[in-house]
Amino acid sequence: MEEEQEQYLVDGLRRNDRASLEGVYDAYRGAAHGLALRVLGAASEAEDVVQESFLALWRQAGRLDPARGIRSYLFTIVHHKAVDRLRQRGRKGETSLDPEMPIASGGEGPEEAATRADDQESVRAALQTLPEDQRQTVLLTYFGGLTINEVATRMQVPAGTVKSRLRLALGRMRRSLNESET
Amino acid sequence: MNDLTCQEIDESLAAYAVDALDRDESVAVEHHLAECRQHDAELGDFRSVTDRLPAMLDSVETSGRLRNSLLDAFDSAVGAPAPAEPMGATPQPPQPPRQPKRGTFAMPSFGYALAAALLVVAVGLGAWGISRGDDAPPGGVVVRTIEGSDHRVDFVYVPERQLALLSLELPQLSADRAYQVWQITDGGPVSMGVMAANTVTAMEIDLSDASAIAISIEPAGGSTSPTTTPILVSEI
Repeated sequence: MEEEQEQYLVDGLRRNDRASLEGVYDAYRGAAHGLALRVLGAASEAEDVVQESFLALWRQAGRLDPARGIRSYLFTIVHHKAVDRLRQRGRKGETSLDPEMPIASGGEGPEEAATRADDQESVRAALQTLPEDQRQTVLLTYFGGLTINEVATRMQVPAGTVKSRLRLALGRMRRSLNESET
Repeated sequence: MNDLTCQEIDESLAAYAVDALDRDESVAVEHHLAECRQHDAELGDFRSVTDRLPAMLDSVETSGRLRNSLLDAFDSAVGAPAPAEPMGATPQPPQPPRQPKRGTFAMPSFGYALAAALLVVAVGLGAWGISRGDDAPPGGVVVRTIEGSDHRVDFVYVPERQLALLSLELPQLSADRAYQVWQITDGGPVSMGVMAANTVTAMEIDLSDASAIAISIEPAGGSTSPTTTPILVSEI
């Protein structure tokens, strides 16, 4: 979505404009639902999280920086709410943590799909640059919703090692993503 | 866990960015981040990665029921003032300074200035008939005063109308410095604007996520985040 369009929608959200909320929802509903479903593994809960997240985005509209992008704020909210719910009700069980395996498809427009496809290639390449232990740490925490201590138990390493791996992984991915854009 | 060092924050920041900390540790990190600006850049770097991780996932179709439910909830909520998100419910990204709509009056008397400011806001918004005695804003009105030997700050906030009035009587600063007012949220300080030493300012602003206001001395023109320790802080 163009920055100008983002600004327009953010302005609308700040004015409690219903059409702007619909615009944001139509642009990002599929991606938000995909993220919530990946973390939670349960469709009904994922839809609850999506609804709560769009409402939270609207409530926080006064503090959004459109330059960062609605998508970024929304995904931060969706992820946090999904993880929070996951921890409240316990683990979802052993679902696949391979983000390359699609759950389903649909729910996004052509423009959003094209943007995501470009981004997917960059992010996938950045993940591939990581050593296996760092890659697994990113997948288990972000997509699996596991805590540092849970990952430490699973990988049989100290929690400090998991934190260190995560820090190194995100730093390396950032450099890789930056390089891919230059 | 409440007093983490900057080194401990550095070690935990990536885990915080992916929501992988236990709740207590996450809250402790948030408290530190609200007070310390040293980690903003690194957190921003981590977020620039986590923001893009969902691109790995396929989009998933949503039901028409979800759309209707969302819009129903929105319609219900806009009938009343938008409720604030519970503190700590959502990690907040670093915030840019926000310039609220405001009007400034250089008046030494807070009582007189307050009345004038209310009047101007009412006229400007066309929404607050202050001349009618039965139109007092419903809900709690926040009133705070911070007073010392050489300063006085009065703050009034009307949540129902999202109106704030701020009276500063502070020592004059050199030309290259200015007072900057901040609302303190879970995501850190958010600028409410740069203000002169002796002014009354009325602003239209949502402070529902703010736990306090603070005033710091910044370079003239203001800063994107506080560069000095606040000289005054008041919980709201």
